[in-house]
Amino acid sequence: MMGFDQIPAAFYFFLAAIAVPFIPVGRLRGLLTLAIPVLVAYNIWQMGFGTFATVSFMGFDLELMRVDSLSRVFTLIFCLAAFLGNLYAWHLKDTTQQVAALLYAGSAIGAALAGDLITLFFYWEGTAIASVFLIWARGSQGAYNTGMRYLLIQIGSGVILIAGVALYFHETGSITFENMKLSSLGTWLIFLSFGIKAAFPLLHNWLQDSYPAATVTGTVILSAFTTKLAIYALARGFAGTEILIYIGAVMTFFPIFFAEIENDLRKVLAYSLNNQLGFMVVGVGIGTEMALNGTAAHAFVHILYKALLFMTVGAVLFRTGTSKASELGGLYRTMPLTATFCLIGAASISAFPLFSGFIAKSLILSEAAYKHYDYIWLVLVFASAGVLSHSGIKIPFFTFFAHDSGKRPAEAPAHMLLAMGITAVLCVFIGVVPSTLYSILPYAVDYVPYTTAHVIGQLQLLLFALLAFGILYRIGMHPPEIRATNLDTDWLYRRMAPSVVLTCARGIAVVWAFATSSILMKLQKLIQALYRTHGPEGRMARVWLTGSMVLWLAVILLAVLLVNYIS
Amino acid sequence: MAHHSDPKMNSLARFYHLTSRKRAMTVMLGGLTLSCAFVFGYDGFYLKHEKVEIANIFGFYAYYGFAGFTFIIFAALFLRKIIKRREDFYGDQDVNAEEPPEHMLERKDL
Repeated sequence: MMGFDQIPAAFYFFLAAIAVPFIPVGRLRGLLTLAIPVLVAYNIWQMGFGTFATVSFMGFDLELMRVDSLSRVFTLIFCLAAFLGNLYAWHLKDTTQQVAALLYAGSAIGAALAGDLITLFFYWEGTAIASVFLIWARGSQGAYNTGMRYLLIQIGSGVILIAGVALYFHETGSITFENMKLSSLGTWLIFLSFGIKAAFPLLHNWLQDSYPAATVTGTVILSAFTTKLAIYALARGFAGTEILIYIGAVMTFFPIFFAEIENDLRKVLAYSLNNQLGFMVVGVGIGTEMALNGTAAHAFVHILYKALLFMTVGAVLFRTGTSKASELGGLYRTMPLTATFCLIGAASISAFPLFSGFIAKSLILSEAAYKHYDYIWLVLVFASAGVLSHSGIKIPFFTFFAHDSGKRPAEAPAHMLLAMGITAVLCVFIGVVPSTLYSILPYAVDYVPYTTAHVIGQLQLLLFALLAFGILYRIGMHPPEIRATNLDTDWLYRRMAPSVVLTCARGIAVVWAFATSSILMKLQKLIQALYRTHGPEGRMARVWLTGSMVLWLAVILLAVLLVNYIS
Repeated sequence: MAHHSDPKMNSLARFYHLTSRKRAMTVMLGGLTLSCAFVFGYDGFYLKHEKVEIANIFGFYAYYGFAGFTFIIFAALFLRKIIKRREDFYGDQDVNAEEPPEHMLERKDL
């Protein structure tokens, strides 16, 4: 009998996805979506490290399941995220979303466990194809358009990946997914492919475009996998690549300003996600054991608190029909539990002591300082204040407090509250007992987060930032929440590129019309000239007289005689 | 009146409702100022060994947090002037301009 180690973990998710449409009872479907992540997480935990489930494919030895300290931590958090996301989506009767969620989570887990680049490619594309259905499930024309843009970019990332893998194999003769150097076109293409999914600056806007377009539950599930899979891929393939430090620093910096003025709170969280990815990318770029621990720890806690924030805003959208800050406010009156969970998520992402962000982010910051990346460290500390501004304050304050919007929605349904409650408890538990997370990180952790200097420093940063908010809000200098669209790089392919193509098309049409009309005119003149000579009234159509024919015959005969005589 | 409790509110909501009282903002700002003063002053009671030299300045994180947050707000206000467009800028078949479909919601008011 085949053991668990012979069946790739992703296949359990795929088998469940095949079974779900045939299960007529909604609760049984829901139970299956909850049981699979628990089963896979338990087995991965039990398995021990090693390479399992190898198969031959077109002459390549594919490693479908490589469990080591790095892949295990990402697999475990993906399983946890799948469980929490599916619990949050317990009410769903839409089997399309349930199937998509299972396929998506399974693909992400398969990719995290892939031991070679070809296996990675298949799962990489799997995440793209499965996840787009969580956007299309919204069922509107806007969501369809967004989904098409999302799919194009995600599939494009996979195409670049396989091109890079082909070149890499040509150069090295290896398809093993291991640390690479940016020294050839092949590795640069693989790097670019990872960068697209990790939402590098200027390649980032698919994230803010698509995540707010998904369904209430779809956004929660989307937030966990694609980008963190890219972080895992970078950590596996490009740890210690210095350029990542600077890319990551830019990622932590620029989304802050966009998030601050964005009205759609799910888009604010998408910008915030981009900012948080920056910290992880910096950790990968530094590449030391401590920095990689920081990246893994931050990815782990980030999946939890970002899911929690998306869940709370999703619950508000679910009950009120909007996630626009300009339409919300004062919801603590009737949604106090959701408000509490949102505050816990906000405290966690802001890295307040005793919350999960505090014990994870500091690993990366400490290592940046230790390795003398002083300016990068300053950017990261600045970005920490920025996180407080948009995710720590803006999300809970303008949703549940601030002015009274007059809305009195009912509290979120029980299963949503349960999912949010478990996630919130985990955010606090990890913050209070960091050793639980540190014990599953890729390398041994020699770090104490709760020192006087760290706690006081962090409290100074956050409390004084809060004070600045209080003063600016009081004097009316805080940006008001207003309905608007803020331009970002998607403008390039949604407005500029189509208008350039349209302008070019019009130019070509004018030239074509001119050219064709000129040729047509000449053709017409030629036909008229031919008609004049060969038409019924033309010279060539006249009937010749017999006398003139005899005359021409005599001329020709004379010419023949002359030629004959001369020759 | 804003500070009157709604009978539909539970005890947790009533606790949050304290923030809507007239003097709540002043009290919260006062409490926050005191907390800030405490953590700022605490810098004098331990020895700093920050690896980045500038962080060893007394109250560094306090200055940096306050100035950083203020900069973010003013920079964001400036950015809004450049990139803000009307909500239906990308047309009415854009997610930002459309109402969320009812099939994915479960509106319920108390």
